[in-house]
Amino acid sequence: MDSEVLFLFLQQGIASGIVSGSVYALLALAIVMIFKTSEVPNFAQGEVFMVAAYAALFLIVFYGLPMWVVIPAALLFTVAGMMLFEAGILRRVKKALGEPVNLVIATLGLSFLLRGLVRQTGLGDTPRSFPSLVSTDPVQIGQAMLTRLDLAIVGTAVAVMAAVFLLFNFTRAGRAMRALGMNPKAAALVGIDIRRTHAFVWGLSGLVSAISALLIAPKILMTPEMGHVAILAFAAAIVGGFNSLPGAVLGGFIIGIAENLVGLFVSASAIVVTPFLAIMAVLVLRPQGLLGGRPQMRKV
Amino acid sequence: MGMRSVRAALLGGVLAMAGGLTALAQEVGVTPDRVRIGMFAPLSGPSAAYGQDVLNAARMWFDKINREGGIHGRQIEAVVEDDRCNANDLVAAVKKLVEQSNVFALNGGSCSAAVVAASDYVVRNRVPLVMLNASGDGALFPPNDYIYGAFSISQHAAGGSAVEFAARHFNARRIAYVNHDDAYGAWNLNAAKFQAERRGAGLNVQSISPNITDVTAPMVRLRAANPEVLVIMTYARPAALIIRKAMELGYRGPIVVAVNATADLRQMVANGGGPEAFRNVYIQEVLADLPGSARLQWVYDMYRQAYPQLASQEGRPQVYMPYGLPSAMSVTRALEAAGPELTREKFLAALQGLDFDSGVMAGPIRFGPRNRAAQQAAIYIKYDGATMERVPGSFASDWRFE
Amino acid sequence: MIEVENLTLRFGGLVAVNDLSLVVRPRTIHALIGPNGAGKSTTFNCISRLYRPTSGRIRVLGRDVSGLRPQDLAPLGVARTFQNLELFGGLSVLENVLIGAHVHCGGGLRERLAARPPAVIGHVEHLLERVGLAEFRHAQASALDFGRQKMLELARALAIRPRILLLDEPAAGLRNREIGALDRLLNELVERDGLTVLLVEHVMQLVMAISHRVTVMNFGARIAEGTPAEVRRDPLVVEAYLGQEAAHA
Repeated sequence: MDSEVLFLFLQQGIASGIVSGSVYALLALAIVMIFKTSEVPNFAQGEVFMVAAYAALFLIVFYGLPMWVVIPAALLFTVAGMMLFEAGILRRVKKALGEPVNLVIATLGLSFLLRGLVRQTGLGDTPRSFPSLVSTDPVQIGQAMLTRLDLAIVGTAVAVMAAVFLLFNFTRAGRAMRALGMNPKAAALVGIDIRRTHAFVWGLSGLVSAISALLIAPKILMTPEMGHVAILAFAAAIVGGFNSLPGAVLGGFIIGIAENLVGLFVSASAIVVTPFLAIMAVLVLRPQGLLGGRPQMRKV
Repeated sequence: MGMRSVRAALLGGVLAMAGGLTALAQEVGVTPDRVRIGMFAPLSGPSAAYGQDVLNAARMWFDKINREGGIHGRQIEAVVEDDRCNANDLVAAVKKLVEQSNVFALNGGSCSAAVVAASDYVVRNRVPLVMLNASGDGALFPPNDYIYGAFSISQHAAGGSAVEFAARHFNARRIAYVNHDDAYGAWNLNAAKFQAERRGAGLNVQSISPNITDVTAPMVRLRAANPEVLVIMTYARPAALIIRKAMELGYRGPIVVAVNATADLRQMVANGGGPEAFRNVYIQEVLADLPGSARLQWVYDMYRQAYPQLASQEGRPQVYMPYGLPSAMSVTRALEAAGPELTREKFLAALQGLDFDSGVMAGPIRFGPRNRAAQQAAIYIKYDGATMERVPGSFASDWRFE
Repeated sequence: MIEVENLTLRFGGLVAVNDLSLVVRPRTIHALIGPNGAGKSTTFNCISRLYRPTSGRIRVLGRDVSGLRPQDLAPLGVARTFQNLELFGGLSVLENVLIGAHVHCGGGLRERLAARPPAVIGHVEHLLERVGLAEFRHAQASALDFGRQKMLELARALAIRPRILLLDEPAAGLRNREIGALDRLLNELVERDGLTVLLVEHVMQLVMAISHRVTVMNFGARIAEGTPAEVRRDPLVVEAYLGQEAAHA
């Protein structure tokens, strides 16, 4: 491979990797924020992401509503749905069967339920395209080819990440969420409203997932399986450190860039394997993740 | 009764039994006036669109033959089961047809993966199986004595034909080829490579996962090789993504699309970036001509006559309906060629020798000593989202199993 | 302030607390002592609502608290510390104390978003000064040494602006100098700020020095109650402790 092509591939790999990475990062953020506060890895995160996109599509296709109505409606719908799940089902499961395993199973159940619901509406029968707010006119960055939509995706994602970061680190509500994740017993005793904080975190996670869904939907064609992308988000969270919000973001970008570079320099069929190789490398070399702090051991 | 009469009675009884045994010695599923064919296809469930009308078309052909007097005085009796397009239900349907309905031969299968699952059973029990519209490469290569299929087109031939079209019609020497990294992808690539070599063209291959969401990497690689034609052998969703990405990367050359499991072309245009992205796109088609053409009118007329109520419904006939005809034609022609003393062996030998033009498909239905895949050719239709324009001629895949 | 009436707690067949009654008067320091396994911590956990009593009643500030959850105590004005420390390790010293003050911040959106709610930041800074942690305000809680961590937990408890302090072995693990500082602080809290303190303790030095009243438990039941001096002389108490020593001799 001559150096010109090499350089082109490098630029394209990084540029495209940042675009898809920013979406993985958002979804990973949504997963990690729930895990940090309630110790539950939410295996329905991908389906929530998928339902948000389909909810928007539903409003567009069946009611012909304009985008400035559809987007807030879809976001609201997702937030409400997540909070409903947390309050209605997860809390009951926790009360009845406290162990974390059962909560995880509850999220798995939710993922099946959501996928089934979408299939029922018939919207999932054929891949659908989602209208884009931003044009797909090509934009050249160095030698890499992106589109205006790509730039909008990265910009919005970074803005959301910044907002989440500010929320968590510089507000009272954020402090309560972090405290709850660190020490639920103490959190209760200082009077933090546990229920409300959990509901808030789930709602926030739903919001971030929905935003990432609406960002990426115009780019990827919607099917009921589009929630698969959550696997990459989990990989990102593991690479970055499952307890670390900045880790989730870093992991997302790493996975996105790695995928693209592997696809360009190795082969297209190797792309699927990349996230899992990244996970294995992290687990062997630095199991707590890149930004995971010290490896923690806990008595079980 | 005397000893003589007892002996006579015994002799009479033995002769009667011998006569009965001779009657039993006749082939399974065959009587002097009937031959029983076991049919199966997805008749319900999400994949019903791949099977219902295909099976209906096969049956209407059998009905026509029956009306004209049958074959060697025998009427074709069809017994029908629903395979729901999955391996478990299909194997169960096949077993039921063979063991309970005692059919002479099987004529069924619209879903490749499911039908291949029954091949073990069929071969072990020596029951002839003529697939309906499944491509079924997994059961056809290497060839065995009992299974015949690919009446629409084999996965191998789909790849070979697309490359033949790219090389011959566009005189292309640099062909970009995108397939999936699964078994089907390996099959179509096999024949595609053979065809490219034969035509002196070079293939630049990118094999992608069916779940892929970002096609940037493989497309950038292809683009860097500056292809003259882009051939896409994927499912509908990745195909649309590829077409879109090709346009984004500034590729304006011809794109040949051989899409698996799609019927909704208009949706693909919408998903693929609209008419602008479809300025130079050719769709692979295995029928003899455009679906609305005069040449195929008789097929749809026949359907309307046979099923007037169905034909009046929305969405009928289903897209794949005509594919049932070459399959049923093969069954009736082989029954004819096997002669009045009908056995499974004679039927299978007759199948192997078939070589005829069904009037429905792009190429002849042709088997051979080492070939169980019937149809190897396709036509190509330029489609820009609004109009369809057929490229004259048909393009066949030359690859054969060694 | 705190009225425990006939408190009983059974864990299956084991009776951890047996018909215990005690009263903690306002503006006093009341100590709950007894040999290991006497049921002190269990009683404590019932009062702070981490355990549910099998029978009996607990009234705090005149209210029956048997039905309350642990998070209902802070708004009531009851704060508690833990023997093994339950800090928010990953947060800074300042943030730990700020969290204690959450109950006093308004519920409005503005207050929820503010990082340093003006309503409470002054009080929080003052508390840090008072426990001697002002210079460590930005250090991570888990990085402090044990003695300072205990003070931090106390400061966090005080941020709740409690009327009642429940202290679980506050002197455990402290050096003599630190015990002295604790002694002074607790006295100040009661005399100057009018708090009421109930503490479980093993370190007799502290108990005898600062308690107004002492309740002694053994085998889940109260065996003695009175001023520190009275209790020290009580033969039952001596036997309970000596018996313990004899068993360990």
